[in-house]
Amino acid sequence: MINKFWYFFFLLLSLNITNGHSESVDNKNRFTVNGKITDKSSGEALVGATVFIKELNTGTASDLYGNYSITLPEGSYNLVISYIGYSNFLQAIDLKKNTTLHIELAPYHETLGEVEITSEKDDKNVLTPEMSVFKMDIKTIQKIPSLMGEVDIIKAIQLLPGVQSVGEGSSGFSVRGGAPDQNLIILDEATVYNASHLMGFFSVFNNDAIKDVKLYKGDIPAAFGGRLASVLDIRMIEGNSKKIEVNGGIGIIASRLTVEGPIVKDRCSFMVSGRRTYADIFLPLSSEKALRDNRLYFYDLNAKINYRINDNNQVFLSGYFGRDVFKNNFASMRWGNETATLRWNHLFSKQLFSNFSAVYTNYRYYLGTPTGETNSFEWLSSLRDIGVKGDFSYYLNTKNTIRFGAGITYHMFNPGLARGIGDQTVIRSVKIPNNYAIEYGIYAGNEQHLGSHLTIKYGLRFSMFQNVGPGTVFHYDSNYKVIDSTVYQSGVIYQNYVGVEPRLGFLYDFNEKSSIKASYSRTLQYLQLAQNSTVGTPLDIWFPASPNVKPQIADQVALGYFRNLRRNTIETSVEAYYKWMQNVIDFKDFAQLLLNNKMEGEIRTGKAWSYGIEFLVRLNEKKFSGWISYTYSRTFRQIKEINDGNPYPAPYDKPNNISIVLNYNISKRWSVSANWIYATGAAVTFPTGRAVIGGNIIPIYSDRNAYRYQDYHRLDLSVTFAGKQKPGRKFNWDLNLSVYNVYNRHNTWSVNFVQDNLDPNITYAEKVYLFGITPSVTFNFHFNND
Amino acid sequence: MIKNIILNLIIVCSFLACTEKIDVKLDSTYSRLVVDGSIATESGPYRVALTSTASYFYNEPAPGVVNAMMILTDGSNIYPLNETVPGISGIYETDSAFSGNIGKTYTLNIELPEPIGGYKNYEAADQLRNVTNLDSIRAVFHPEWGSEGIWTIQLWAQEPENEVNYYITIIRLKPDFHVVDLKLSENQAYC
Repeated sequence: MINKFWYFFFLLLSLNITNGHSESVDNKNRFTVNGKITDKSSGEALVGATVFIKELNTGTASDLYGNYSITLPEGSYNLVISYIGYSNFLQAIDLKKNTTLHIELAPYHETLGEVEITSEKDDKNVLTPEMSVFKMDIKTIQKIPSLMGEVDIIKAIQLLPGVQSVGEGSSGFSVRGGAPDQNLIILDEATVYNASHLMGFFSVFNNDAIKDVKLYKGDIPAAFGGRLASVLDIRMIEGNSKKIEVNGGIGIIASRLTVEGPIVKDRCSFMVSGRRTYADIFLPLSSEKALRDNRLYFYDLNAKINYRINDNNQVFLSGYFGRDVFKNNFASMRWGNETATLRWNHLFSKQLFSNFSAVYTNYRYYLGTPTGETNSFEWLSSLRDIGVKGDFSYYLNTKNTIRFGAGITYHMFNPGLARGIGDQTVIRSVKIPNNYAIEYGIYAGNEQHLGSHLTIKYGLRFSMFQNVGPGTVFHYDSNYKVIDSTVYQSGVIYQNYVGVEPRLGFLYDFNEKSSIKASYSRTLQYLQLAQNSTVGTPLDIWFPASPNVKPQIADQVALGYFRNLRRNTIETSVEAYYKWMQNVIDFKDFAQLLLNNKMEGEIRTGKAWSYGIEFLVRLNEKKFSGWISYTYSRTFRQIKEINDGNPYPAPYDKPNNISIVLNYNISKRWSVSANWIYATGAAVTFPTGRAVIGGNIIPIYSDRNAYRYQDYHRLDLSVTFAGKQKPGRKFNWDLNLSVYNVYNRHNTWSVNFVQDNLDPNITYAEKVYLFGITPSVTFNFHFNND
Repeated sequence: MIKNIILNLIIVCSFLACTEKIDVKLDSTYSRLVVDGSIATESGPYRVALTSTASYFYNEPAPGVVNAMMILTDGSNIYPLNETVPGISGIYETDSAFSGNIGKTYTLNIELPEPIGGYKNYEAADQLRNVTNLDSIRAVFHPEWGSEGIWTIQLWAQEPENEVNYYITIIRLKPDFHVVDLKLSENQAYC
């Protein structure tokens, strides 16, 4: 299989080179146009803006840094540059030599009253071979009604077809039946290992600091690896390079402030953004004394600085720091992520672009009690990554775009250290030994137009994972009991896994309005989360593949039909997928995951599969935007030692799912938004029998996940009223009123089975629901120094 | 302790959480035999209650299993257990002269009149192990915990280092003792 694939791969590459060659014979003089596409008002790079050549009916798109390149025969052309939310830009060029053309696009709201040129090239979703991808800019996300006024990227992602929330209010999400830990969440290329604040009610991403978000649900580009289900690629804003800008918001539970601006105009800019909640300020008002002494808050800091050395070189330094703090008389707990990314963007030529990154990320938590008690202790755990990578894009000609690169990441796991603190303590320290691993990835791929209607995309990722000493490996017998262990010295590579991950895509367009696409991808995952509950806690730890834990493997095929209507203002699509997963991890019943150095003995592995069909209608009109989606999907697991080896639905198996997200701009000052969500209740295990032992009722459980919660549905509404906008006005504001769960449905968060206090023979079921109707108000302001 | 902290955190986070009783339709599963009893080194009688499992919302005392034959052996001696009220109680009792011996392995044999869970005969064996000596018992008051303070009752003992042992703690309260809420915390054994 591997050999065959390589053969195929080389065959195509050689085909493409001869192809390119024959073209160059036909057209001796070919020149390249390249440049950077930016936002006119802020200087921010626009990612995925399209450059369309009218005469040749072909085009390209800008990369992650806003750079584009296209090589054309000598001649005169009309270029149409477009980007959603921006006015099209028309540029005639007479191509006689290699040309650099930087383009600044103006956002809609700045082109006051101007008639829009209906875009010829907003049909990108039809004509690019990418499928199973959803991109949202922050403006779209900000219009979605929010919980407690905190607009959230991950909550917006959960409204997409094929994406399920793992629980009410949770930041965990399941993509096409995958587990929450099968999503690679990257913030400026740094992995974010725990995207939750406040037990998941909020994510760690502060909107004001975010530029755009792209979710790959399948058809993951070869440049990404390490997770089975999806990649959530989040980019921070670079900072306005033209003028100082201040954005902020005051909400009922949090406030935020962002300052950005040039250090050297058009050359060097910065962004600093902070957010803090003050929910705990209200805790002393609580009628429950147990709550009054608690402190509970989180904060985030994002910062970025970029320096454009010249047209060919730009450097970026960005970082994130966030913490959750929980404190009372008994205990304190802190957890959070830190990331740092240093990037150098270099154009080797007008056709060969590159980016080199050095990335650091750290997720850690601390748990402790006050000193002076016999059981005073502290507990620490962390996961750190250091990585470097290089990515290259070679815009060979209008028919071929070749991407290749390599990366290496060093993982340092500290799964847990618990020790007594103070003089009184009797707790001896427990240390789960640190372990270390190196993850490598090398990839190459090409996007190739064959004829005028067919585009294929083929890539290959070669990944490797090594466990590196010092480390201790326990050996288990067939009953998962430890029989022996081996200790490895520092630097010894004691396990090596390699993976070959082909990624294939195919596009056939019938015309500019409709196309079919197909894709196949294989993904491997070498790190996973030890999690007892579906919703997760900050204490869940990541652990690597090892001699006892094989890497997880997923193969996904997808087929889709895409059609745009009404001059591309309505995008429709249907996608069907099937996914096979191997070495999928679950835990035995009553698994002990915390501070257990033999945790690998609690793991059970098997296979999983999921399939589904996703219908989407997306509206992109100026006044009316949003989407409506319906998904039917199933996802199952089969693990020998769980559920008697019979298949069982995964916790995220919610067959029917509807999302309606709509925004209507009534006028320049008023806009309204609504969303409605419906999902089949989550699969869950309930007791079906009981035994009485020593007066206690002991439940006897059903087959795993044999029952379901009640179906989930919820309506949210919001109204935004903006202050008067005038050209040149420096201070603008808007007021947002959101109502979460408008019709006050008591959606199940969990179901408890309770033994009655008065008659211990009686047991009953009780559901816990979190948010009834929850209104909130947020005041947002924007100041710029024009 | 750790569990308590997480629980506490969840409680604080969900200060908006509410609960309500719901009707859940549950299937019933096949019956299993439940054997609930223990022996120790003091002299008997020791009782073993036989019940069968019921559907989860059975809401009555567990149905007793009557008219079973039950014997306990330690390899050389046989100790029969007789139903206290034959055909009615489902509770079986050793002779009052019976007492357990540390180190011996005891086997309990049950023969049911009707099969439960597909079987008529059940057998289980275990060794009667020594319990490490208690060093002390302390009662510590924490005035700052909760609204009226909390007492913790601490058992202190030296755990044998190279063995895996499971303990059962049975707390008996005097009837006139006023206890608002009694909670057992599992993770109170320190190594």
